[in-house]
Amino acid sequence: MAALFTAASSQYLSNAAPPLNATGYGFSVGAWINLATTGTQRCIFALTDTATTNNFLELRVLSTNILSIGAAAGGTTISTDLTTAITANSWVFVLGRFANSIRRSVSMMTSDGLVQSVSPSVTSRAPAGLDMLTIGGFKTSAAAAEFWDGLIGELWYCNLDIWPDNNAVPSDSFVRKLAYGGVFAIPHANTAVYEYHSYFDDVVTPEIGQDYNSGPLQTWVNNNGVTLGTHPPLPYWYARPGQSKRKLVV
Amino acid sequence: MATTVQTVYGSSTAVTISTSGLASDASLVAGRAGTVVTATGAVDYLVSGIITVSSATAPAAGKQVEIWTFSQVSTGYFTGMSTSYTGTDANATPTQKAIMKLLQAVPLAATTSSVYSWGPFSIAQANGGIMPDGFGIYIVQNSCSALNGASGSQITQYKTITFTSS
Repeated sequence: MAALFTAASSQYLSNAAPPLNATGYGFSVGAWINLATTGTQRCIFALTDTATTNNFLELRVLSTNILSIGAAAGGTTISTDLTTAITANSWVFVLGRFANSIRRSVSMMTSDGLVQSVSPSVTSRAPAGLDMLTIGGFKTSAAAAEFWDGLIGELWYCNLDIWPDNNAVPSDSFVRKLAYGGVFAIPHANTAVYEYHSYFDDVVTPEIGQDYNSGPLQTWVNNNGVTLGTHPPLPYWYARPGQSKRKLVV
Repeated sequence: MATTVQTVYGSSTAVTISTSGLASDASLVAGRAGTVVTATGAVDYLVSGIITVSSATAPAAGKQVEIWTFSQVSTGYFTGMSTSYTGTDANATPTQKAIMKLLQAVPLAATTSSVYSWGPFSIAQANGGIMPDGFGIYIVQNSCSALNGASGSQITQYKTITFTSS
């Protein structure tokens, strides 16, 4: 199963004490997404300041159905965007890289095999006071908005730029490896994962093998009843947390 | 006295699946399903193969070949497959591809006649650790042209796995 969000019901997940630092950088986030309805700006993952409306880092899909990173630091938002639109009801692997205040980049792999990345941004945005982590919704000092409509599964975020060169785009094969092998199949990243949620069995209650916390257990709030839907089809060799050996058939 | 358990690999056996000249489908659903392999007591089946793209037209950028496995649920019923599929080698359009088991999505280079080896993959592991009593292989591609039709250019095969003790 994956987390199933209904935008009309204003459903989203929130964590008011995120493990990421208050200035955000550097971290990376990945997930499989499936958007039920297009044409509206929707949030996948956001780290925001709940005292203002314009301090945030956000991985989102724009109203043009383009995958994007938005960054604001008390002023105008800088948007770092792909060029190929996401289509409705199709699984897409998305990767957001928030390397530092200048370099932000986004990649995706659509289910028909297309991998696309955009060159990292060149404009600084250094927000402060980031104190709220949300999935499937965007929460600042204003009312929550940009609700996701559809599915999000296999979500993780880690405390580094997952591609070693923050001034370059990741290789296509690396994005594919992340998508089909999972973040725990990437040796330099699997020890840097803050959290991983498959959303296979539950939305906010941790399940052994399906969720992972690197530190203290994170408290997620299920706002307005996010439920479970279908899961992205992944190969059996997709690496789960703590999975260091395969099952022996005897 | 200690007992030594050894893995015994069966000989390579072809899976009957006619992917020679398999047409491209942009939606990655109209593919080819092979004849169901009936399990005969082996604890696992390792499947592998070779795919060769067209010699005339190079794949477009960002295209792939997908290899999936499905199981025989009961006579005439197969995981995710349409009811028109009878268990023998045929063009097939699954009704619920997402509930079949993905083995590999092979990314294609924009080069004619490129050869890709895939696998081996464990059918038992793909099914949670236990062999189903029958399984099939389903292959679909969106390279924008038919797969290579030359003899020997497409191979899908399996080896049985058993254990022996001494």
